Amino acid sequence: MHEELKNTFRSKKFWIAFGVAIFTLMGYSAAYWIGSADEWLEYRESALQLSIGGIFFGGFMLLLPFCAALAHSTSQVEEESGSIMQWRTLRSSVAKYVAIKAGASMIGAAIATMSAFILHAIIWNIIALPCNPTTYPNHTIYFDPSCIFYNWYTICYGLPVYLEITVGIGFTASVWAVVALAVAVWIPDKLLTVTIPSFLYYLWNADLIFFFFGIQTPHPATLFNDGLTPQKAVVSIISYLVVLAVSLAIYYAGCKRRCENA
Amino acid sequence: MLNEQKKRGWLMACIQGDMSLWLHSMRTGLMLVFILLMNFMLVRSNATMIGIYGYKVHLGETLFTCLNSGFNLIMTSVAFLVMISEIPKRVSYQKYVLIRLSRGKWLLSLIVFCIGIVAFFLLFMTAMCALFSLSYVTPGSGWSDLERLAENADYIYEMQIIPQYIRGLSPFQACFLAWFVLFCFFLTMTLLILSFSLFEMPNLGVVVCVSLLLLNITVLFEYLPGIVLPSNFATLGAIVSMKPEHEFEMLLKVLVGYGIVDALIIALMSFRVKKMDMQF
Repeated sequence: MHEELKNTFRSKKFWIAFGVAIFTLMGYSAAYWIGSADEWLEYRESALQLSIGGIFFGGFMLLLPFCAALAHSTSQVEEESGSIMQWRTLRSSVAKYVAIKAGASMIGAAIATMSAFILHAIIWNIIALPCNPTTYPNHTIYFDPSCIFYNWYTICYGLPVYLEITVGIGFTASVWAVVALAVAVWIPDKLLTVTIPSFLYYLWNADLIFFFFGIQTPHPATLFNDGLTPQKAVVSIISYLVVLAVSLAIYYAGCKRRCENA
Repeated sequence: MLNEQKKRGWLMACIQGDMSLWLHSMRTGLMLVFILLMNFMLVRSNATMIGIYGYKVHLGETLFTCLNSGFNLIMTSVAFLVMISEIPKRVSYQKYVLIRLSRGKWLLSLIVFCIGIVAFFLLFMTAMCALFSLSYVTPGSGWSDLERLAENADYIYEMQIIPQYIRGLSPFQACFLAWFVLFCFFLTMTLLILSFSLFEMPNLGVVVCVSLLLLNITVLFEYLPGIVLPSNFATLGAIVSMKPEHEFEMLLKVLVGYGIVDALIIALMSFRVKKMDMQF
């Protein structure tokens, strides 16, 4: 695992994923900051609003599965084409290989996306005013009363909101990294490894399951988006755990098949 | 006569070969499935919206609505780019073609192939859109907005399904116009991918095109006036929104622009093809 993680953080793709995530977040905040250059500091958006704006109104939500898949999951394709996978499973077992690979991909994807969000939040907390709606009425965010952020954003400059969103991003990204691994083991194509999870995420986002089966599913970005209620959080976590279990099973079956028919 | 047949023979054989390689690619198959699902979702959401208002619409109008928005432009374009990311497919088939044809003819066959796949793709999308719409459209032709306007003059203050400037044309003409704008946009992207591929950077071509497309949603351009993105020229709806009251004038300028850009890309490719080392 240690070696796998070392490879993850040394990989160029991990840093590209981190770069894309931070660029997407900056796409909202930096554009707003440049566009509102004439306004007084206290009338501009707070650091919290700027930090989460790229998620709520920008493209971060759409690109999250792409970043998650790119961070480490594409290495599965390289290991298959170079027969490294067969050698590694010979020296341990398929189950151990799956556990190490899935673990490293989950950690890689979570760190790439979470660190981008944290760094972005730190930058804006230095540049803009920290969220303080009592002193600056302009910093008020009109969350729905049922939303868990309704009271949280006034505590400690919105620290609980930052923490919840960071954890939400990390959890979601790690599940999509395993989905990408499951794709990579069956379809060894790097481009499809990063695009298929993104498209599955988009179809889930477009309520495809509801249209076909009549089952209402939570938004795939529920865990780090506005409108998050405790009930929605539970349903979303359960949905993601199901996705994770199915993806792991598909990934394990793919690895086993590849090793048996190498 | 025989010469004419011979001329067409090599071109058709090349296109057939390229088409076969393209259709048998995993990327093409999977992306077609995804696009089909996206198209279905788009039509269903249009149907839901029409249902909420309780309007009756005709097939031509629903097709125009989809073509005017580019069938969910960003995701469809990204999927299309993945589909065409491998052209020309780097297999030994290309070598055999090059032995039997000149480099110029090989390039010409690829350009015609690009035109063919773009046309095929858009016709497929339009046909699927029509098929999915059949469940909620009402028989008839013309613009239903005009019918509602004739019944109730206050309708002008409500949501219009079709923009006013296009109602001077028939639904078929309007659909063709929107289709042609999309065709030009997708063809330019395809030629761009092909040119990057000829410069031995196929992945970079996809990255550049996808990045340009996604800039629209990743950067908040409302705060940065004066910046125009490629997606502003992608659909009829986007083009005409740049110059209200002078829609057709703007459209003509953009179409001429597409012609110039495509000609430049083709000139660059023909220059490159004459100099490059063919490695397949």
